[in-house]
Amino acid sequence: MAWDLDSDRPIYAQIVEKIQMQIVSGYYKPGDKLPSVRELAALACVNPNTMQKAFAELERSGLIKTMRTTGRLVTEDIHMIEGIQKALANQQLQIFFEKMMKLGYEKDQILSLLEQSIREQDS
Amino acid sequence: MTALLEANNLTKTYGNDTVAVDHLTISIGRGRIIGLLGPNGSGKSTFIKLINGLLTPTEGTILINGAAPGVESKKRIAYLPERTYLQSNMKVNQLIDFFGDFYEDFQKDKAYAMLQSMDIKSNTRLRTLSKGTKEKVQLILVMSRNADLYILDEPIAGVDPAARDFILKTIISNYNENATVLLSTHLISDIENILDDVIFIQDGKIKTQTTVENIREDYGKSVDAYFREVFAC
Amino acid sequence: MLIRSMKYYWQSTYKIILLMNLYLLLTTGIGVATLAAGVWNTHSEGITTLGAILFILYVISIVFVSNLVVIYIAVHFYRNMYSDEAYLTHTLPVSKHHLLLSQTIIGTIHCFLTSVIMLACIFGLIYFLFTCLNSQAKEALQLTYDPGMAADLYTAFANGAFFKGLLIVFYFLLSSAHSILLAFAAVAMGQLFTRHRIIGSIICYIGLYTIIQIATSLVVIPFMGLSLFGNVSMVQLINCGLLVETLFALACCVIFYLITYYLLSRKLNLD
Repeated sequence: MAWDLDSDRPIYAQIVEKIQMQIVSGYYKPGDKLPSVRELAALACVNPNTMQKAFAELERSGLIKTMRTTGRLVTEDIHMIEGIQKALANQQLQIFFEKMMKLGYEKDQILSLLEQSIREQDS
Repeated sequence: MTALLEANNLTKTYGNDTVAVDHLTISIGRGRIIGLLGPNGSGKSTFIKLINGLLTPTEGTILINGAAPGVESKKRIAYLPERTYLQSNMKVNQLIDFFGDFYEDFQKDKAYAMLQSMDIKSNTRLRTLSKGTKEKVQLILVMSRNADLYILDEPIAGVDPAARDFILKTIISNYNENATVLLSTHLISDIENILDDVIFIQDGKIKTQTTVENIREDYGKSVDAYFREVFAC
Repeated sequence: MLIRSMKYYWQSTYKIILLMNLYLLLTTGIGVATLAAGVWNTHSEGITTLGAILFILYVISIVFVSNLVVIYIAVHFYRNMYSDEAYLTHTLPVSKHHLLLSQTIIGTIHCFLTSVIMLACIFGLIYFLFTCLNSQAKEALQLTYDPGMAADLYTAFANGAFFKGLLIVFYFLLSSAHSILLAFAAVAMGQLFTRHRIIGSIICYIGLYTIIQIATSLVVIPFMGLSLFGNVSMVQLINCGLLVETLFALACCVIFYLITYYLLSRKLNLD
């Protein structure tokens, strides 16, 4: 099933985001081997050069390391992964706060709404 | 290093003064997946036929690996026309033998493997297959070649979404840095994610030749949206 | 590469040709069987008339079927080189010479073999006509045997019969090739028309055929003049005539081949 990608923005950036999410969420664990460029490109239904560019970007950031014999591995650096997880979470929070404030809510109202929603989800 | 494909002032006029291809000049390199995009009647098919030696140019030249269309260029080109061009009373395995006989770079095992993954029995006659299956067979035969230039003319038009996915994935997995795939289509949004470059053609002339990335970064639009802008009446 | 192309052309054409030849053999077989059974040796005028009519129909159908071979091969050529299939044919890494030559060779073989079978059938039937029919029936068909002419023909061949036989076979081959190539050239020329290409081909065929007929007559006239006014015997006439006809057929084959090749390589414009 082709990945859901937005044609308006550079594809490689979206691929980077998606792979980051997969690593952060544990779909790929630290030290796991990633599929080859071609395999992943076929899976995502994107151009292999684009996938290559995404991989290069991930490698530059250190999230992925290329080993000569074994291929591309997810980093074992758990701190880095947690750092990215936190950064992505902050991004989502930022968006959430912006939207809530647009609706007219204040910060303390947002907090109590959040707690209420979580309680409802748990039951 | 000669370009893979070079056209210089390529022109094709028909008797009643219709100019299908108008002094077209272009250079195409290796290792790219390129979309040849343009409205109906823009000269896409004519250009493709000229590359394959199915039409003789009125003026200008077309060179593949530095040679005019001929036996040598045909060895290096894998062409998928828009029509059913295989003998319909032939069986699939006969077609595989045929291609294997005439093309040195044809990989029979690859063809059989792809047929199997698509659940197509190899001893069926072509005419008993549905349109979509026939197109898959034609694509499999082309993709089992190890060519320098793959030319696919409307490979996904009139095909169901699942087959479409298969076709696109096959094109991607077949990719190698020495070969180029030229995709001619008007279904841009379906294929733009697999393209490296695009060539916009109109009235037999090249309007734009650029990379997909440039379009997304410079214009913040999808190729489909950009195309609509460029070709708006 | 040439053998490969020929193999595929043979495979896609032999079945229909076989059918045509089977028709020839079957009808002749039936004729021979009825003759041997003495069906036609009656005093009934009705049956003899019927026999004569059937014989005429037989000859017409035989000639028709053998012409059908050329038409079928021409249609196959058209489909292979100019219809949707042409998108495959002309993108194969095969030179135009090989494409044309392999079609010509296979077409000629089909045509030649069919002609041989046709001749064998006719001579076979005639032999049985002579041997099985009674004199009344023969009179109805006006079958006469001219010893003088037969003797002339015999002497014409007696000297160097082997080489003359070879020449005759060669002539028949060339004649078949000539019919095939004329048809191919007509099909190729028809493609020059922008519309109504098939009608164009037919017109070109008629045109080319007419030109050949006129040219043949021009070549033959000197010989007829010689035979009438010179002291040339029938023997020498036949010998010389055969040679001239063979050379003429050869020239025609070459010309039509070159025309078709030129049109295929320089003037190809597929729809």
